[in-house]
Amino acid sequence: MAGSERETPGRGTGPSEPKLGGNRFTRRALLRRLGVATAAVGLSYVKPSLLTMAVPKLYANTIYGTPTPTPTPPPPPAGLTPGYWKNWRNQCTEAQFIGLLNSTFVASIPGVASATGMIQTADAIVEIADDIFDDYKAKPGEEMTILRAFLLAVQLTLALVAPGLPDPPAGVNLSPSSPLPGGGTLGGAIADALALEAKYPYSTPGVSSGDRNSALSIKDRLAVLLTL
Amino acid sequence: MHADRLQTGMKSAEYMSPLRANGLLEYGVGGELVLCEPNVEQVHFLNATAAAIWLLCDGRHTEAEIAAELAALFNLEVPSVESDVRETLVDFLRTGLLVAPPG
Repeated sequence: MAGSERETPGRGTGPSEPKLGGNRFTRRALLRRLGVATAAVGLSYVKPSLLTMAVPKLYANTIYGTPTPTPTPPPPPAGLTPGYWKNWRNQCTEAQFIGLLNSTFVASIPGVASATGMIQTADAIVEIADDIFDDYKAKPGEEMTILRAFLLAVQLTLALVAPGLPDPPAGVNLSPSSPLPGGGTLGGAIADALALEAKYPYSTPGVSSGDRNSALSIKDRLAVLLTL
Repeated sequence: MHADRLQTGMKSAEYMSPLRANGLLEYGVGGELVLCEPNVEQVHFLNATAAAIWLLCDGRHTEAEIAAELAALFNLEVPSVESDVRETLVDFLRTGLLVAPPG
């Protein structure tokens, strides 16, 4: 109400802001109520206009602040790219990253999970993850390395929603049931990637020409949702 | 009636001070004002000048004082806004935006 805008003389006004008649309002108070920040911006005088109109109930509810239920479309599936995870040190602590890695295929790579000593095991897992992401744009002939990078990025993104881990960046919305544009689900693509990973375990040199194409095809299915 | 007194052309100093009706929701939009009446499903759109007059209808300003405030706000002479203020107050009364002040 305008009464609350009443200002005490000598407070909130200065020599450059003379009081208006009646000592009730200052120019600033009135302008503020009108949504004009400063007198310098000012208002141009136009003949006062009052337009009254009836509004339909539905519209009225919107104006009056009563929420009108409107369906909110779910956010599109989106995950974090290998490039994001390559720089994981900018996003989370090493302990958190190790926690994330324990939900990925990297934790089951032979020679890592069975290593003796927690520190050595953890260091080995991180080293492998760094190695995978360092080469995720590998040259032809290293399709499995490329596939591993995208598989790891997907699995890390999926693990990111677990309690105690860093909050996922805005827009991250990924689950195994996320549909893929070309058909199927992300979970299906992960299963195919893991099957190929089992056929060509980490550090296994070489891959057949047929499986190269498979690796790249699966990689494409994984990559299509990694848009953040 | 307040409206009658405004419309009969009595001297401004004799008027009671216009007072805004209660229960209206105000939304400022770029210097202009939208007033909503939830129960009657009416919306009033006031341009900046009408909005200034509306805000001055606080039960303490007479019509003459409102005209003076408005003239000062826009750096105009009071006589140049008097008729506009009167017409606007009549419009406010006609549309039920003003109530009789207590007492």
